[in-house]
Amino acid sequence: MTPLDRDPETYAEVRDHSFDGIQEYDNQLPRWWVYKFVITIIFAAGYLYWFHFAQIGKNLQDSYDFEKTELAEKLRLSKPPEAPVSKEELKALAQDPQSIEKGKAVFATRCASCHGMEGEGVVGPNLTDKYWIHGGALTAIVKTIEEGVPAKGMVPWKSLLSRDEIHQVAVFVKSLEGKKVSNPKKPEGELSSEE
Amino acid sequence: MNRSNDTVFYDDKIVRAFLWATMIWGLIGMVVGLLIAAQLYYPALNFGIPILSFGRLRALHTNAVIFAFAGNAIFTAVYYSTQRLLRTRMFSDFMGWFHFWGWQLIILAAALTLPLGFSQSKEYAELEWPIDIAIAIVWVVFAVNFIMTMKIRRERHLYVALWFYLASIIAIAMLHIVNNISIPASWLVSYPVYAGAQDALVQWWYGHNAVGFFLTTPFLGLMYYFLPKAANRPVFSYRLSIIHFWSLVFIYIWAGPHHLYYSALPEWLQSVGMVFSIMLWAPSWGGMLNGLYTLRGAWHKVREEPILKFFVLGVTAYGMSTFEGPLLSIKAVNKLSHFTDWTVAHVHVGALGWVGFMTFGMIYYLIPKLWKTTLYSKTLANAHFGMATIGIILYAVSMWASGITQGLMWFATKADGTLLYPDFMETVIAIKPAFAIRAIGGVLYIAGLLVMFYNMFKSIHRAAIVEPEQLTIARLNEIPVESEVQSLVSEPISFKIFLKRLHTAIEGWPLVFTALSAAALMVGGMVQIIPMILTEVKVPRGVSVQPYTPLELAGRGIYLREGCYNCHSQQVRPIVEETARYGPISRAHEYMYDHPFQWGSKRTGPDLHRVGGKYPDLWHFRHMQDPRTTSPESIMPTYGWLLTSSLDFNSISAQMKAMQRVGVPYKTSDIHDSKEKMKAQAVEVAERLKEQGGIENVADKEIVALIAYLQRLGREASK
Repeated sequence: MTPLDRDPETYAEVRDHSFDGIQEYDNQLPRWWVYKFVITIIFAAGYLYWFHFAQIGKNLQDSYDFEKTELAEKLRLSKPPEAPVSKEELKALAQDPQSIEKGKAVFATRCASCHGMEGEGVVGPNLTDKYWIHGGALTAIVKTIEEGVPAKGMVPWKSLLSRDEIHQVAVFVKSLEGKKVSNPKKPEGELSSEE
Repeated sequence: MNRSNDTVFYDDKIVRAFLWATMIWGLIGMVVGLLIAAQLYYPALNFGIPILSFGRLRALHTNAVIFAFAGNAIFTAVYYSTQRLLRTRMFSDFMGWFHFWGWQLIILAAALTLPLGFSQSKEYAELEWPIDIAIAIVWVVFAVNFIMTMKIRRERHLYVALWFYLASIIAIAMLHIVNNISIPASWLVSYPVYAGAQDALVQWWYGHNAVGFFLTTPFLGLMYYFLPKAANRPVFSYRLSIIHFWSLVFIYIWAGPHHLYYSALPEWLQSVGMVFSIMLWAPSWGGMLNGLYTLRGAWHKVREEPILKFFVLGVTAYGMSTFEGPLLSIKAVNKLSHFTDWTVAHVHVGALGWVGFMTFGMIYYLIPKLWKTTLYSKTLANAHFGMATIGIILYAVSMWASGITQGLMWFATKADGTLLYPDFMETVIAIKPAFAIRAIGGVLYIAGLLVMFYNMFKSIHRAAIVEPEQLTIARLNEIPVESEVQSLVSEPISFKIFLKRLHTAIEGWPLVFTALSAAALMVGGMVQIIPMILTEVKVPRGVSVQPYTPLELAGRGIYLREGCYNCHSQQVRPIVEETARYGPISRAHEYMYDHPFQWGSKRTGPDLHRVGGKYPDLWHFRHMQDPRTTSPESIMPTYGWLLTSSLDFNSISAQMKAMQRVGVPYKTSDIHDSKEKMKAQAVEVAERLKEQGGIENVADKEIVALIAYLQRLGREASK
């Protein structure tokens, strides 16, 4: 290593010693680097003061509660409570093959894992017989889908599916009633002839 | 002057041994990484075989690349450069070889036990207690050998590379021992003495600083030796070395809690972790500046010399990831990035770019030196550089895209405030293409490594037998430290010069240097951990947290064994979109009997802290048998063996006894009839499975224990 007395750019001195041939200049600390360091230290002190010593800033729980209230307000303003779907509306939908087809698609991705691809029942009950645990009327089916049966492991679908999707699945499920399937689960609930 | 000369032989044989170990373990660790990357795209690559499943192999990958690849690379650098910087052979050849073989045996033990499912289930500290003890012994031998080498040195002052080695050796000893204090239940099962939030704090104090003092500071030491040597240029600034060394070792150790934002960890600790992470930005960049500015006037050499190319990109990657680190440590950013692939991108820029490229640069530098030969092909070294660089870019960009995409999808809401993607699976499907691109990046990186292997074989093949180099070196001229201290006060000097001279004096006084760096390293940990250990968990009025039943505890053991924490968190953060998705916020008291904690750091699958009671037992049964029957697009491995493996009823009492010793309030009578209670609960679960789906003969299978544990999760919230 050639001995360089001074840094050719900054004229900083080189230390009078080398380690296994490695020399060291003694350049000034880059100013921008020093300023950056100082600023982060000031920020640190300010942050701790603001949030912990003076407690001006909201803590996690408070900001969570604040957001939650804000959200509830937003929800209240954004949509007036919808009237529950009527029997007649659902009956009309049940006559529409397109809606049933759409319901079938949703059923395949969301429901089949527990109720079987054909609705024959796996973890969840058989949907092809005429027995219903929570009511076989279209409006009752809609309600079961919306609210779920958390005690038995059926999740409420209200937040996961749109209103239309729920109605489409309901009419599809109703269309399964009485269908012959290869490997049906034994019937559960009560015989129902409601529509 | 009365100076006599010594004849010295440097020990390069051990350096060559560590270099080979670096190459071989590096390849193995990276290939395992590639396999688990591919598994995320094609879950079929888990093959339904326990030892090849993601949850177990991910620990093998991280341990192999950190402790085997980076570890052996560090030892290569330390053994080569320390001898030259102190102008002496290492203190003891025996200790050196004990260190070498001890370390390789530890890695071998890890490569066997981790796939077999023996795991403490704390990230990067998965190895079970007998291996932990072996690590501590080998590490102490290494430390003693290093410190004694400083004692027999023929160079008065310690060069900056040695400061970094020294701090790393002390820090790792401290972190490893404190984090692994546990009570064994058997030869390969143990429980940490810390519980819940406490365990989380200690673990991430360890986890963050393992990155700091295993993957950062030793490699800074490596940089300070090999970069100026390869560039043949003086280091940019001695004072920058001093300032950034001390600020780095002091500040680094405080930043651990940035892995635990929005968790049940006390909020003051989260904030302290955040501000120290931000203050860490400048000290980290000090190292990058000293590296890059050293190359001033030598950039034309970078164009021609692959060694310097690797160093420049390595240092640049270091600069990028140490900017990204503080950025990710801002709570608001971390809210989005935490649990996503953004973190994965961040660590891999550091691992592949900084650690990998500094190691490769060093190896290309060492091959001609250690084997007294020339490098077989510069063209191939350049090809390696190109392939690996493209590999890193593909890896990082795909994981950044994946992490940000998924993070935004988790938080996306409709106009009415409900979740836009309530189904977790949709967010997985969206990022699957990124998994494929990441794997391609990995293939390129490994292909580059294979090119390096070939180049190395060819170079060594041409080398003659290596004779140890004989050197004549003057003995250390005895200047008493006192005289250097004297020079501080003998003449009027400015404060700046006083400080610099003081530091130079300390550099000639290794024991003082060791003591000072140990002190700088200990402050942060003590301020954070001691109050946490002294305070008791606050349990809300009217709530009584029950310890796990024997069957649930056995199920938890299976959860730990399979490494479920690698993909599932157990921590619902106080964020509205998150409570909408998973349920009530997780509180500290819910974890008070969790040895170890299982908060997780990544959500490849959904959070599980509120999964208890969400689905029927049968759902879990079918889901473990084949996740795609219940969740069609799932990328989770199948766990068929849980349905057929016999549940171990015999070790439960030993496990409960160990739990009792770490502070879980089991009564002696509970332990006495634990086996009967466990069998009784197993029969209950089995009967439910029979009732729900006609499943027969599973009361003595592992699946019932796991179901019992999963169904128990998060039930404290509803009490």
